[in-house]
Amino acid sequence: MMKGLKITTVILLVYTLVAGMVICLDKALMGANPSQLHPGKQTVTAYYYHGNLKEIKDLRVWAFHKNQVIPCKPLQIKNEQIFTLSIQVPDTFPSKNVGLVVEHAQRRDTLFGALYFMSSVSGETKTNATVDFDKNISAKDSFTYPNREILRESIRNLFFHVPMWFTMMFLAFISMFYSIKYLRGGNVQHDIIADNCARVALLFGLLGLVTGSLWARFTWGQWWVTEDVKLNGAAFTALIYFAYVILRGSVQDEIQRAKISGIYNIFAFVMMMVFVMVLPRLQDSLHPGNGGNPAFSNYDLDSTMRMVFYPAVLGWIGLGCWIASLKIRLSRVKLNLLNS
Amino acid sequence: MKYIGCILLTFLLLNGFTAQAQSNDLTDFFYSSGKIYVVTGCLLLILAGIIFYLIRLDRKIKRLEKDMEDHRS
Repeated sequence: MMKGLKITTVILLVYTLVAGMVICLDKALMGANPSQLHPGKQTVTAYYYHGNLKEIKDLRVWAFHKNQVIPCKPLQIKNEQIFTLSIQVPDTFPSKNVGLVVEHAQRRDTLFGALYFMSSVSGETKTNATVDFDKNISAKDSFTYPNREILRESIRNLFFHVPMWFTMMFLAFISMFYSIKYLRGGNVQHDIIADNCARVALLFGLLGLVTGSLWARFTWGQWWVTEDVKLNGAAFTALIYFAYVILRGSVQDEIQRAKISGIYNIFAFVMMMVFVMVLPRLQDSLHPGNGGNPAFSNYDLDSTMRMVFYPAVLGWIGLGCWIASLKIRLSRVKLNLLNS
Repeated sequence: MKYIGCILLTFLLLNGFTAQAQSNDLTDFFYSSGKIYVVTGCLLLILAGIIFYLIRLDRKIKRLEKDMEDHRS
């Protein structure tokens, strides 16, 4: 059984790494300069990402706000990523939250200010054309990851940062399960499993914290967002499991150590659930899935990401179990040596 | 525990540095190419963490092997 688990883990992790890094991001407009529009005629430079503008034969550009649309005139394609356009902005057109749509034969891409993904613009070049913005906001026609403002390529971290927490919770659950088993039966083998699983869970928790911190620095702008409930909850969880390790180290008597830490472990798991799963949902958090949103809505995880994310979670959990099993085997050998 | 103290201290220092100099070279590097290096950095951190853990495990096994040899002789 262990052999199958190891082979599956390796396959899943290789798949995660390859698919997670190789599949392209969606094409998108990165930004525009100047970033605000004023009434009158003006020239705007726009930056395109992950596409080749020179391949686009019929480039058409629109600016829109709510249901109001004005066509823009593309001036020059400077290179593969940068082009300039000219806009005649009427006096009634608002200057904030204007979307910019680049349209060509196959697809339409977005953005200037607010991020909208448009599916249909009526073909005629007339102002006040009615546009259906709400439908198919996340629709797409290619096998790519979503290209989100701010996140960009770092969206791939979903396959590396998030599974750390899944692995931690899984191992913590196994640990609690065996703690209960130990408390019911008093078998030392169960205590060994509970102890080692909790330690490996702590490792994955710490990895989740450091990767999350790095990701937060370049998307949210800070290494540690002190206001974020989930961040602090995760840190508390790590501390709770640190306390578990310290508690085990501080009791000399083996049976007493197993009993006390077993009981503590049950509380630790409940605390972790409260800190990581319950409290962040009651308050606003920068993490998706908090402050009332469902975690895996269409906006956060599209079908391409799901195809890599679920195998990634299983792969990392497999790796966690593998490391834990090594430690468990080591502890068993130690125990046998001690008893012999 | 000593290592963890070091890591925490590094993070605190990094926090202070980046707050002072918003546009140093390293920061620019992480922002470049659509922030792909953030993913690389995270992967390296995970790899470093797991390898660090495996080295510790290796040492424990070595100690055990030594104990076993002592036990036999």
